[in-house]
Amino acid sequence: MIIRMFYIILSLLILPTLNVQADSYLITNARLAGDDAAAPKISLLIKDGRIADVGSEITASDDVERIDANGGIVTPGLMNSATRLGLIELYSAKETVDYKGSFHNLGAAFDVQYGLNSNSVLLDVARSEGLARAVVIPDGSDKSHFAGLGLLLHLREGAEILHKPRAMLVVEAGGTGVNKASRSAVWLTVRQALRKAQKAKKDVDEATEILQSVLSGTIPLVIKASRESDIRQAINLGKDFKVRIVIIGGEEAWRVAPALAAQNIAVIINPYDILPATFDAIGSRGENPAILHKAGVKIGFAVTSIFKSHNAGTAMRISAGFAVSRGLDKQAALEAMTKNPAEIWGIAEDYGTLEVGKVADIVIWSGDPLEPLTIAEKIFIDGKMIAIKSRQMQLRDKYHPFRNNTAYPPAYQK
Amino acid sequence: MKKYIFFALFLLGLGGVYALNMGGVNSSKDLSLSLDVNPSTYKPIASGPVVIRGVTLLDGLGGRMANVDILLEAGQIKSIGKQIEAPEKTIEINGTGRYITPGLIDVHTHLGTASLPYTTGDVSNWDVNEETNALTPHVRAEHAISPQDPSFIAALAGGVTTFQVLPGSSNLIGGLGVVMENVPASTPQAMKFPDAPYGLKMACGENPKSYGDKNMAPSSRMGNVALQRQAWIDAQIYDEEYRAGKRSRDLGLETLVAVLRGDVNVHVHCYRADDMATMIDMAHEFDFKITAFHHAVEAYKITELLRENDICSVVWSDWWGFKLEAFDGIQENAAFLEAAKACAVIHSDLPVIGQMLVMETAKALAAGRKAGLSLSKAEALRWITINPAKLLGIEDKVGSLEVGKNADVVLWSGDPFSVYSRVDQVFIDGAVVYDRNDADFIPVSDMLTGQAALEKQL
Repeated sequence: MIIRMFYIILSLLILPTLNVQADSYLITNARLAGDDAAAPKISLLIKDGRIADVGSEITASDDVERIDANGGIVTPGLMNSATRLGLIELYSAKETVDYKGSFHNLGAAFDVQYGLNSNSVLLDVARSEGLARAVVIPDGSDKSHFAGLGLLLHLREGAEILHKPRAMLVVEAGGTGVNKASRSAVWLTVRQALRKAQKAKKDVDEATEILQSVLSGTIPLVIKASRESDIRQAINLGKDFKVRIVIIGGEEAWRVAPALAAQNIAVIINPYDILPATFDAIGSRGENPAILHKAGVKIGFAVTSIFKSHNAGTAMRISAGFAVSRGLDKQAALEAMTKNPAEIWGIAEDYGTLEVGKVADIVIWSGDPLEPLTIAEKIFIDGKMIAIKSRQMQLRDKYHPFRNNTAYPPAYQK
Repeated sequence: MKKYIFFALFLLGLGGVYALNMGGVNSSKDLSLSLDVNPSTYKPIASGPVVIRGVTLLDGLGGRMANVDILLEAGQIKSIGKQIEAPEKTIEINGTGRYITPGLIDVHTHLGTASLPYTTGDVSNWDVNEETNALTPHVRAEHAISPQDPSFIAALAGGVTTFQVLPGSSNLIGGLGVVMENVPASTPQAMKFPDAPYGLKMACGENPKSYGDKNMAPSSRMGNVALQRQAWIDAQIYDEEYRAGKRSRDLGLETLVAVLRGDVNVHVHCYRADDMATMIDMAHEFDFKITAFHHAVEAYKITELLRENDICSVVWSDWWGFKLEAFDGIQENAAFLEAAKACAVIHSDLPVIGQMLVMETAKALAAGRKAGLSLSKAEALRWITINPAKLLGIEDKVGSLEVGKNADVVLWSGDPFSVYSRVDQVFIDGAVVYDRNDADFIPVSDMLTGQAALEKQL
């Protein structure tokens, strides 16, 4: 036993050093989204975690592992722009809920990076559905209109999923936010806080520093807002304080599309928001993504409600197709889960397209990536091919109708 | 003559129907007849014959036919075939490149009782659960349905023509649900599916036991089961005593008696395999039939038990993890039930799913195929057509494209299993009730009428 433990510990110590040389792959026989079946197939070379080459005539040395895409479509690994991944396991088990806190007084300084759980079973599900990256948005407390600091995840296998902490400051606007306060109270609170931070010196307190990094343009101010009037307030706030605004929700954003485009304000949409779920969202409609895109607004996708984190991959991917059925250009729908979030969240240097030099987050799909009957066949995150696995898939195999060893209960099925 | 009438009444009494007795505490009415206190006033919209030609047809029974014609006449499916003849003045629709399916059936909704928009003062428009007692067999969903819920029309635009509204799952016995036609109307009676059986909603597991949080019973699964068993015992005693003229009418108990007589379907909200097995034993103990387990997240663990007991599993495609009893949800649930030849049905529960029931079905199909099962789209479509029709006891009227059935059909712009396809037209009893390309046939709920937020921006 002790000997075995020794080897396990030894292997843990050695393995990382053995893997320093990142895996190399040559993906062959692949298609780009939008290419028809007749277009020449392309290859992608993955080396040292990055896309080293892309084209129809690429060669690689024999020691590079070949991956035949069988004519499948390749896209960047997807990015969901509003999740709680790593901060939630079961909503009913409060000890697994870390995206909000009812009693803290941290306000803008609430920083969700300290609660991340890289062993959450949701992460394997998300990865296996082709999600390579995600924004994690805090809900904040019941005591502040500032929800706190969100972060960016890079869904590598293992513990290193945190890519960029303190990536945005989140504000909850609208009629259903903190203590159902008057909207005027929300906007005045935010404006007063920003004005104070403008006048304050450096190193006053944590919250002021965070507001100063918003004022300096280092991080965006993310505003959860649905109603047209709130979106207009957000636009005005951005103008008055010259800060970068991103809207999350934006059910009525289509009504303000030109103004949003003029101010270069991105909107994170749930394409399934087509019902008047609340009085803040009476103007919900399926054409919202299409109208915003046509007006030149940069859009990203997220799915809310039950899908938020537990189904953050497939649900978002199909919701993008749903937006296409309501008029959005197909390529634009794909970019709302790749290129656009890369730009919105400031990581376009590394992520968002299949260009040479980018981090190799790549998915090979069995078909059209926006269709429900399509699955992710091979997934590369940060240059490594990940194991497509999850707790759910293991449960599936335990109870599979074709399983072996049926003389014994499924507990014996491995 | 008089003698024969008495004899007939005697026989009826033996059959479990109450003998006429105009006085005393005994009701003059047969208890089962007292079920339909809000009779349907639904009348199909008048329509002429319509033929859709050259369409790809998924029949809802697992079959697929390419390039066929289908004639709708006098509210029914009149004929299906190649180049069929149509009477004069038939409206001709070119179905080339398009698909036709039966109207979809959603067996688990709260439409009209959780009417949109939701408000922070939810009491004003949430009528899903009567949360004053864990046992409320006396209440009915049909007494709480606002026909102005915008979700009805969203579901219609997704191809749903028939749905059931069930009470929620807060209570062990939550009351009666009701089956409806998805036709815009001013009263629920005018939407009520004629002669559809009622269904009793029951619940297992975490939701009902949360009464413990209010210092009420039950507070555990043990309490859940004990209270439910006691309710059935009370119903049995009531049945006997009522017949003997010792009891007056009791709304809740007569509902339970109707279940024990087999006049009412039983829909049990149940997630865990062990909860479902316990409920099956309860049904055996009190000799009633469970029609379906709803949500049934762990149905895949007990597919054979479910098949042997002829119980449908009404499931989501991929919801999981929102609470402990949903932690083991897998996407292959419906496909594994199908593989075991058990009845699978996909449901919405939330209105956002109601408008894309085929997409949910497609995800469940994709998962099954990925797991190595051989399943066609036409077969998977049964999960939202004939299977729910059978479950609700209305399969003689809806749920498939067969001659003589109600002309409840959906014309799709393309393959309904593609996310890019749209519902072009919906027919109920032969009448166009929705046409995506004709504003005259896009209904608008009163809630959304005159809302500036939906008007075109100037």
